[in-house]
Amino acid sequence: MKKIHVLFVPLALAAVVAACGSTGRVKAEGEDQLVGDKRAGNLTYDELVQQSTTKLVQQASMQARAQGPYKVAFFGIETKGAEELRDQLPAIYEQIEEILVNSGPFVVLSRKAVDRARQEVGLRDFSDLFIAKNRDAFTGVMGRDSESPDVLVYGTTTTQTTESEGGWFSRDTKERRYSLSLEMIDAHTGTILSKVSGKQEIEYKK
Amino acid sequence: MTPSTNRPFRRIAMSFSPTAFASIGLFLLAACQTEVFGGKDTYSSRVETTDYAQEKIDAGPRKIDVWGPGQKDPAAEPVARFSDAVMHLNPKPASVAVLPLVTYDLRTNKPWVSEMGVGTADAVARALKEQGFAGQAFDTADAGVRLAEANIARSSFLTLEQVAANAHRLGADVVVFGTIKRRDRVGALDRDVLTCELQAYDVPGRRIATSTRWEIPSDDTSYRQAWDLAQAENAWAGDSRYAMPSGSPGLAAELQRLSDDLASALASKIDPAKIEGSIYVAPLDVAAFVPQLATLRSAQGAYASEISRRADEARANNEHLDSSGTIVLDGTEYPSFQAAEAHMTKLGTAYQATPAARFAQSFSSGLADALRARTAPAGRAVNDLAAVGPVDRALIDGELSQGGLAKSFAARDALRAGGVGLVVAPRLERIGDTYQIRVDAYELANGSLAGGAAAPIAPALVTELERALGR
Repeated sequence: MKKIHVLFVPLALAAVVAACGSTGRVKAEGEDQLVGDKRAGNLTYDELVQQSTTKLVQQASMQARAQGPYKVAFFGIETKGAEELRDQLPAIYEQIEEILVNSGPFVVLSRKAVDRARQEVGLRDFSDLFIAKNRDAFTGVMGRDSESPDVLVYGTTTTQTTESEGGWFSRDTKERRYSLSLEMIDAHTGTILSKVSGKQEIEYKK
Repeated sequence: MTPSTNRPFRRIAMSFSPTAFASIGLFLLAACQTEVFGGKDTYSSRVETTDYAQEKIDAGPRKIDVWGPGQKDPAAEPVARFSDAVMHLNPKPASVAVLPLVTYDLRTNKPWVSEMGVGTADAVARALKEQGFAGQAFDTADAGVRLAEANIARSSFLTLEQVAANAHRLGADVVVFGTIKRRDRVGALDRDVLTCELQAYDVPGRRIATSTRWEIPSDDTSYRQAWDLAQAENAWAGDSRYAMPSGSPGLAAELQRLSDDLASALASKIDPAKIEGSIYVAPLDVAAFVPQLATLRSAQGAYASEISRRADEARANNEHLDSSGTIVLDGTEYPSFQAAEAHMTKLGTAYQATPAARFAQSFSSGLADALRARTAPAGRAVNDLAAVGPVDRALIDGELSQGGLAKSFAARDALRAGGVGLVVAPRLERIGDTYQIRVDAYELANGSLAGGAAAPIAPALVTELERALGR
């Protein structure tokens, strides 16, 4: 009996060590996704991109016009929320661009061209584009007459947080609402043609 | 103490009962898996994302957006109406030059010419021919050739004002010009409108003889083809992105054209058969721009005035011209006419060394050539005063520079003695920023001004002209 007890301790330790090791596996399609416990992750940002971009495409489905499809320049997302987007940001850019390219009645100008044109014109901030002369310079660099963008797409991520401190027998709770709003701006006047947003709320406990 | 109890690990292990071990294990497991001592990973249903790219792939190969049937030509009816109006203009034009419609679009920083602009203009020329227009109808290609001949850049015909200013050079009675203006968001956010206008400019009458306008809205998809053409640039305009090599106006060609124009204008006012003697074409007077020439002309003027005074005096007293005594030129007293002439020769040499002198002489040679061609078979235009003596030449140059040739009997007499019947005196003038060449023709028989003409130099060539004058 004593021998069994003696063997139990190293076995238990071995089990604990084994449990701490790294593993990886391919998740099945449709399998549930991990919800981050301190910050938003794929689930949240996928939802935001899906909601906002689909709404934008639907809302902007303007009637067919004789001068051909709208030329759209997606020029980025401004992060105004409490959390850094880290590796989410480039992925969000790609996803939005992919949806715009494949679903809407648009001709989407390459974001690389857009970024390069912004550099060429010397625009550091997105808001610089709301000055008419900057916009004219930007559209001028993007192309002449029928090649310049008709519409600029611009996004903003925001968060709103509600916090509740726990007591002796309850945990601290934090609710955070994440939103991604996308707006379509008339490239020639700077007015907002349409604005939509996607939202998701997450409750964190600690 | 047994040997086994000496081992610390065993001693610790032995001090716990199996139940305690199990309890600790279960506690740790619970701590990790429940919310008592921290969190547990939570999972939520995956967001259902639509794969738009895959949907497109599934839908088959991407279809190219073709125009399809039911496309309309918005200009058909207005062009027919317009060409009919041009046909019935009063007075009837003998020739019509049609220029492309020019696009004004705030997206671009200057007017430009679209495929639709050229197409519509050519449609007007075609309609005129089809409707039996008796005169000449120049389409955009013909007009381009004529512009090159007239030494005008195509880009100088992009506004109505420029058309009005240069239309006479095209040599057509009516110049058809048009505009296409793009207005965005007309009535709706996504509705743009092209407003097209055709205008017929009556060149002799200096007025818009007739015009018509029509609109092409973008919410009518039967105008897709029209919009496509309206957004595509044509190579007609010289400064288009096609960067087509085109004849650019040059000063030499401009002066040739000016000489031809001035000679034609003079030839219509003078009768070559009535000219007693040859036509002397004086060097172009550029005194207003060359200080050396101004000094020379001033001295010649004073000299001419003194000679004329003495000649008139001698004639009144029925004596020979008194060429002795002092003479004052430009405030300096010279002891004799010879000394004064020597001074003028020096001034003349200084002037001859300037680029302006060569320019003036070459223009006059060109003008003499043009006059010779137009006064044939009389054709006696000459550039030099070989048969006139140096004293008389100074007198003549002086009177010419002061516009006194008509009243100076002595100068006229000297010229007539040299076999000259008509003097053509060209002068370069500057009015504001505009340069023009004026030509006066003096008939020596009765000392009257036989005729005159003026022709402006294209503003684009002013820089080259100033270089030629050595300024």
